[in-house]
Amino acid sequence: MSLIELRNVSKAYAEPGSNLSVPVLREVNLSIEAGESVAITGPSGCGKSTVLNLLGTLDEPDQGEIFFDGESLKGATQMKLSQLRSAKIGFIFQLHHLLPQCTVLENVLLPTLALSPRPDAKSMQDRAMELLKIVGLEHRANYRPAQLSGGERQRAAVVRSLINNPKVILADEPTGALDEQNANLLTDLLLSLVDKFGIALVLVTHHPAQAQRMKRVVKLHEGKFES
Amino acid sequence: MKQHSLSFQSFRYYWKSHVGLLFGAFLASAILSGSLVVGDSVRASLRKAAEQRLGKVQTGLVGGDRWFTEELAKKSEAAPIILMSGSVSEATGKARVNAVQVLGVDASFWKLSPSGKTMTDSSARPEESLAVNASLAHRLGVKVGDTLLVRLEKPSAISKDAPLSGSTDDQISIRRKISAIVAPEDFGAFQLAASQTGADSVFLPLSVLQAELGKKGRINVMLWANGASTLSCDTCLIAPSAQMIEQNQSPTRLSLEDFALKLERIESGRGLLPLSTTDKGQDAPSTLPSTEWQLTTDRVFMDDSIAQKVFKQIPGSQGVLTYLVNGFSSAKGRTPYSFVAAAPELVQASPALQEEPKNQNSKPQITVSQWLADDLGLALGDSMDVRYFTVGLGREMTEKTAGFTVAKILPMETPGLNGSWTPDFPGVTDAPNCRDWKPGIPVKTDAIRDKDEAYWKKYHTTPKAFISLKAGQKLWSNRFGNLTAIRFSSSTKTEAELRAEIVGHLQLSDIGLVARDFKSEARAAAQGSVDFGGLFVGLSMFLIAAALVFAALLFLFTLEQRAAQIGLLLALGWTPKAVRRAVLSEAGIVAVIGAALGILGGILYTKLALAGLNGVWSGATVGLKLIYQANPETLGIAFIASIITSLGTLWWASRQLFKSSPKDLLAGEVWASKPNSADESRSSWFKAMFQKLAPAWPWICLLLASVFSFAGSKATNPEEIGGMFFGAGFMLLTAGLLLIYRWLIAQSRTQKQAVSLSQIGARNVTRRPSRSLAVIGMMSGGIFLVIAVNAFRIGAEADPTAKVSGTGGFALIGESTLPIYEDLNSEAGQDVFALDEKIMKQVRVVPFRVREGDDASCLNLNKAQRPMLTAVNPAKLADRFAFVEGGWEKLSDRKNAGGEDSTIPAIADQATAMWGLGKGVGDTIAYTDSQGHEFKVKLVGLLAGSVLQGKVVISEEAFLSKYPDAAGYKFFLIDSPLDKMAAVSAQLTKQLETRGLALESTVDRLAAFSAVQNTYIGIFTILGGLGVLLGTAGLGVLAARNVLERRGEFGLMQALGFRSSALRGMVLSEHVTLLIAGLVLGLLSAAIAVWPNVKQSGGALPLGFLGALTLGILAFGIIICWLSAALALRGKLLDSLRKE
Repeated sequence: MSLIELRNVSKAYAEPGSNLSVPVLREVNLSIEAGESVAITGPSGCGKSTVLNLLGTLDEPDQGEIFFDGESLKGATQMKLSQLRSAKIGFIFQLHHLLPQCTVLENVLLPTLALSPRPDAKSMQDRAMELLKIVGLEHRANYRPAQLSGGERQRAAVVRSLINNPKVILADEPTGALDEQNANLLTDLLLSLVDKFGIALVLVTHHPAQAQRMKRVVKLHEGKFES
Repeated sequence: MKQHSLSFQSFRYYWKSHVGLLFGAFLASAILSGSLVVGDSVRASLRKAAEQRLGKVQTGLVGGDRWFTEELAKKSEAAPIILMSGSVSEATGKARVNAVQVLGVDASFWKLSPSGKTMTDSSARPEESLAVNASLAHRLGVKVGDTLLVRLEKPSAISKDAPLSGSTDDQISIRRKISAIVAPEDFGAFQLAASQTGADSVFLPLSVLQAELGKKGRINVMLWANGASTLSCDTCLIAPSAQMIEQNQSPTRLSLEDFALKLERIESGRGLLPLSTTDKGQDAPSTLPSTEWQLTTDRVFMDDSIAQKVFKQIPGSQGVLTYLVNGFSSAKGRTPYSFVAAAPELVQASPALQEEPKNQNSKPQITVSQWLADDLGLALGDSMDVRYFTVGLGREMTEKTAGFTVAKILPMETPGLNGSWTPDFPGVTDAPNCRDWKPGIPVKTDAIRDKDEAYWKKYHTTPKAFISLKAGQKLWSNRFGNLTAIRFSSSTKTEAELRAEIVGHLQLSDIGLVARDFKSEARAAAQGSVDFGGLFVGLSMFLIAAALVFAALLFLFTLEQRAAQIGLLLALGWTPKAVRRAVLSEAGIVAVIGAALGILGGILYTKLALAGLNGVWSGATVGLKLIYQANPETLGIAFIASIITSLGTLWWASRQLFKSSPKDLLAGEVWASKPNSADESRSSWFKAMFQKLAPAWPWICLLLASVFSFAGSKATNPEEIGGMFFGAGFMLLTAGLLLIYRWLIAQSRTQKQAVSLSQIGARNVTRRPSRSLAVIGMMSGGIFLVIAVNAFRIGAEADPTAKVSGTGGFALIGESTLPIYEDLNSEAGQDVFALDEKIMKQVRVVPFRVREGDDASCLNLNKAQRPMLTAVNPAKLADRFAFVEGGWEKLSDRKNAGGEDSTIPAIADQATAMWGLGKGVGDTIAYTDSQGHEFKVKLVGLLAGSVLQGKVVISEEAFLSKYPDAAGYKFFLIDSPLDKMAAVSAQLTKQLETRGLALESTVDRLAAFSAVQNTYIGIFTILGGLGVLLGTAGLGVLAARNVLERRGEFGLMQALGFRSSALRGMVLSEHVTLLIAGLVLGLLSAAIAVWPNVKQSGGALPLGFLGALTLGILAFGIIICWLSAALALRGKLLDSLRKE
């Protein structure tokens, strides 16, 4: 049983100013296995982020079904999807999206506030510090995002995605805003962490080199996967 | 790390962004708390005024023209008082004040004052025993030591309208030096009527006033202090106070004198009975008791309620009705002015006469004295006529004649043939001879012969004839009573026992004396006819709404900037509810701070409002000096309400944002996506139906507006009318906003190419339809309210010649201190006051009877507990005044007044009914008649903006049926040619000075009423204007915000070669579009909503004022937009492009 599966999924977006819709995905199928690292590549506007949003339950398909741990998400309520995301999915975005008003530690702990039942605060804080130590940010725990470099911010975002011990991390061009050196460092870090914790990783990128470092690469073209 | 700490940290980090929200919450809280505290302050001021005017007085008994014994007050631990109305002038006559309350008081009265200080000293020299209150001293410009002349009507036991009530010009003047000027807290503010405007008062020692009025030992008011004994009218006892019970004192009985009754033993009239007659009609010696008891009244005619109780209580008692007739006539002569007594069993034909049925005709029988028989040459069986006056509605007399057959002739020595049959007719019984009579009816003294004078000297008031009581009552019954005495025999009981027995069954309520709880009435009155708190909240509602919309708008700007954060939290698994809670918690902190600061601002707001109400807006408070008072609970309510409304507004305003999907929010697309389909499918059927009906909503709103408008035109309750008016306005605005929203959406999808900068600018308006709509809503709401309310401003001067108008076509309105009994339209009436025939030729006076009560006009802030009842002959007002509903003819239509038989139709001014009484057509008002019974008047008509504001008008006929002993008229509408108005006014004022007649033009009176309404509108205009200002500021902020968001876009345009001025023009055009849309929508809604009311009240819109107001708003809005655009577009726009 796959961890996540897109089955015959189609998605279109309405064209601004008209009633016409532009198809983005056409009956695509994709399976993500537990602990697997998958890169999704393709040209700009081909629907990579749409796939990631669908995998992450941030969007819903027009047609087809999405299964998570074998369970169909069709008809799931916002509440149920929220619970799924908080417990089983970690996100890393191109922009770090750290809350400027919170410290690094607080940003890392942010997903724990969405867990139900709420875990023990002390143990979560210990875990956060442990993860920050792994990524080399323990000394920045009480810093505000504005006081960090770009690479550090993205590493903090990586730690945030791991804090709830998810089954999968969905990373949408996480290195897009970094230079090559930092981009490679972040990719190394990601791969080592998913490997260490047995987490699946889905990476959207249009850097072939980074994509090649994943176990599997799927290419999206004109709304279809080319394996 | 917890959710609330995130909210707190966010607040700390983004506090600068929340300044707008803080300002909005502050403003809402300040206005709300300030408005409510204005209400607290007005109520506190009214309470203070009530405390000053009543002091420690709790309950009281006000007799008016009913007098009772001072002893009764003393026995019941009450303060004995004489309360009358008079006029007071300064000794030189330079200054005169009418309608002054003249009080006769002793030390017990002053003990009831707030300070307890005694201000009149009965032991002082009589010529220096007068005190005046500060208000009167100020009006007369007098000080201690100055001399005043107090003019009063001498109280009469009998109504001056009653037949044989004596002269109408029985006045006394009291000249005294002022010994003290009484401050308000020393009871200078004493007044029993619930009014915030103080009365002018003169205080005299009780004994001095009693002596001057000839009312020794009599009073007409009793007042009890808080917690003292109260009068139990049901048992006719003074309920014992706790102290009395402790001291084992028995309850106090009333006395006959308290009912103006007299009990005396008189020579029996049984000797006159036919039982003792001979065949020749001559009396024979009898063994009848020589004396019997007679109960009479100082009021001449006995109250029916009392008579019935006495008849029931004393078996065998018989009523007597004695009347002064104009004369007798027979075939052989005439006899002028004589008394005739009517009593049962007195007249039965002698057996001899009964045997001669042929001599009998249908005429009733009469027994005559030998003197009369001789004078008229009468024999048994002869016919004779009796001429007498009957009384009409006023004092108009009609002479009538009744024919009789002589049944018996009484020798002058007959036992019981004496003056005891005749009550004390004022001006008659005390006159030394007939030619000095002043009976209050026309007396032709030249008809009085010497032999009549001789009879008067020898037999005085002895009746010359007797008829049966039934016949007498048929001829002379009148509204004042149908008996002048009750006679009964009692051989076993002493006088004291008899007195106790009679009075033991009487109640003061039998003569209309009912104890009143003045304190409770004052408390109820102080609640105010106008709820200033509610009024200010109502008037400020738009300002509060505008502040909240303004706050919401700025809050949403902040949230839009942080959309990605919200998207992140949602992506991380936070539920939308949790994220929303976190965001609103953050806003809540701001709202709490804003509300707390707002409470301080509210205090300032209240103080400013009170300063305005005590100053430039004093027209609205009509003389009430307002004090500041804030109740903690009011502030608490305002604080909590402000927070709830602020958060509620933010919750509502942000609901769309939280429906956006996380991915869109992460991308900064705030308003793009639709909600989760599963959640959507779970939406209620109601929501689904609501959405299905979306295209029809504007039309549904228009339909609802019509329904509200129609219902408003039919409603009578002020709250209903207000609610319907604003409901209709709200629906019109909503319909307009929905249509505009639809247009905005359509425009945002248009494929039409924009070919000019202004078109591009206008298209920007459609980019964020909600934003644009919020601004249009704020603008149009403000404009609607300001324009709509100002449409009710009364600008044009009233027309004193237009009969169907607020003046009724009358030029003058008059009120007299003392009643005027004469018909001023008649020659006789004009002669009494020596009025100039030439001046009065074209003058017509419509008099109104007045039952004193509370002023229910807008000039009284207190809620009228007993509105003044006035009465008029409706025929005299036919085709006069403009009616909102009904007409004068309805006053005579008692059958259709509905309800109980005693329900009386009434008419009131619409403003009085709505605002003063909270009543409408069909509603009833309870009054107590002169017998102490409650009756109801039912409103059957409403006058539109009339000079009769403050009064409830019923027909004179109905009035007299309830208050038969009412006398004279005190309110007048005077028809006069306009060019002679000044001369008429001067003539009437001068010639009726003794009655304290004060005249005012109807135009001035209406202007005084209008001033109050216009003041309220003025207050609203300022508050509503502030709302418009805020709406305009919102427009400015929106303009600035839009420009700041699009600086990159403007940078690009600048790079493309557009000049800054062109860009400013574009920004200006798009925001002026919003301004004009709001203006047009507000104006249209106002015009439609106001039209039925304007049409109904017959008023005209003050178009000039409204036009100026609209242009002012437009000009201000354009300036604000231009400034905002200029400020936001300054600097290097190209830098913004580079940053992008």
